[in-house]
Amino acid sequence: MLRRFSNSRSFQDNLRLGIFTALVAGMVNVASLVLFYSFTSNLTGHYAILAQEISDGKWFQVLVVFFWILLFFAGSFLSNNLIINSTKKNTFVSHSIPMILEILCFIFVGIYGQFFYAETLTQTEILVAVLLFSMGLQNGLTASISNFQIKTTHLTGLTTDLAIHVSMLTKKKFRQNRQVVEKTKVLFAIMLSYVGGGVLSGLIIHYVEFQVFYAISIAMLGVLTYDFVKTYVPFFVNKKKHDNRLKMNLEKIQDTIKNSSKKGSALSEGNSRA
Amino acid sequence: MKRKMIISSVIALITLSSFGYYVFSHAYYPERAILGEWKEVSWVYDRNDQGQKVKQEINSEERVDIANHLVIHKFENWTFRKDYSIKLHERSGSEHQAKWRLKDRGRILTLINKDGTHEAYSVSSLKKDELVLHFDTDVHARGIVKITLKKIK
Repeated sequence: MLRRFSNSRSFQDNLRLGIFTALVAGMVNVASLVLFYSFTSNLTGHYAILAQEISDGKWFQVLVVFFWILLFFAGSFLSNNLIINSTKKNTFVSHSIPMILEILCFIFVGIYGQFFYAETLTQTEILVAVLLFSMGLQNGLTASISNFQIKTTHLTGLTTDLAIHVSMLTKKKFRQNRQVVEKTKVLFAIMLSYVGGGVLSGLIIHYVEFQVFYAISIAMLGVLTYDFVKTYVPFFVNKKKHDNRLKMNLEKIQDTIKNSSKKGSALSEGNSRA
Repeated sequence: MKRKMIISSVIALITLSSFGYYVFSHAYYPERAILGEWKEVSWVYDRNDQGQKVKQEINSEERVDIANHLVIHKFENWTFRKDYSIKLHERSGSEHQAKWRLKDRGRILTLINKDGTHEAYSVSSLKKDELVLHFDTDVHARGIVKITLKKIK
């Protein structure tokens, strides 16, 4: 899911990445709405609020909303920076760092919310800021590695894209175009996953409250482990096979040299006798 | 190149953290502004009847009908305390104690009753001496109820 980059990614890679990250975004968004009365996976509303606060002249509120937007920006910036500065050797590591940071954010929100949260305004605003940073990390990661094919934290653009693709599918020539069909499938899957994640979160949040963030973290760790195994296990298995083959070849060469040297000495002995 | 990147990352992190610290150390402003004693001055429907220009006042009997699931219809005075407790009271002496919290940058006021039930009100405006709250009623044709409170202490 995270190993391949940009154009080397297959449709299946993008589909899996889209479904999983949209599920996480949907869950986080509904959890933050129920717990903090605030959306954390999309920024459109925050931009509107920022404009409204500016026009009302509430300057500290302006700073709070501006800081939230800045953190989302910082998350996406960090993700992409890690990806573009990675080398071929450490692709998986650089792709997984944003996800690890995101997991750390969720664990922080889970632990703080469960044990220290007294529902004060400042605490709420800080926790919302942490979640916005994590969503920025996720959106930056998915958009970067999928060559801007996948964006899972906001559905305005996605719904527009989906509508455009569905309208394209009304024409036969586009229905025969594999790329258009696949993109429509990915967009549709992301939309369903986002809603599904939201519904799931809404169903369990009243029972588990902040512990929902542990569940999300565990699921993300599962994905990281799966990708780690897929990346490194074949490498080690192949390396072992490769080493064995090299060893066998070396032995064969050594045997051939030994045999040829034996033959050579026998021939020279025969010649001297003659 | 690598050193330059590390230095700029550290500077960016320090700037962002300092900005965050400054913002959040002042973010309790709405929580401070709401403290004190407030008195209800009006209950009106946000939407008018056709042809009416003046907002329709809600009388005390109607208040019971539309807000019987909320504690606020019984009291006229609200005292917000620093320890996040709120005393709702009236002249006759009856009172109700609960906890209050502000959410979503001070746009949502929640009252947490002793039995664990929550009541949420939308803070439409919070000024030095005026607090305007909205809450949704089951009377959907009428829509939202607007409660205006004036600060008395």
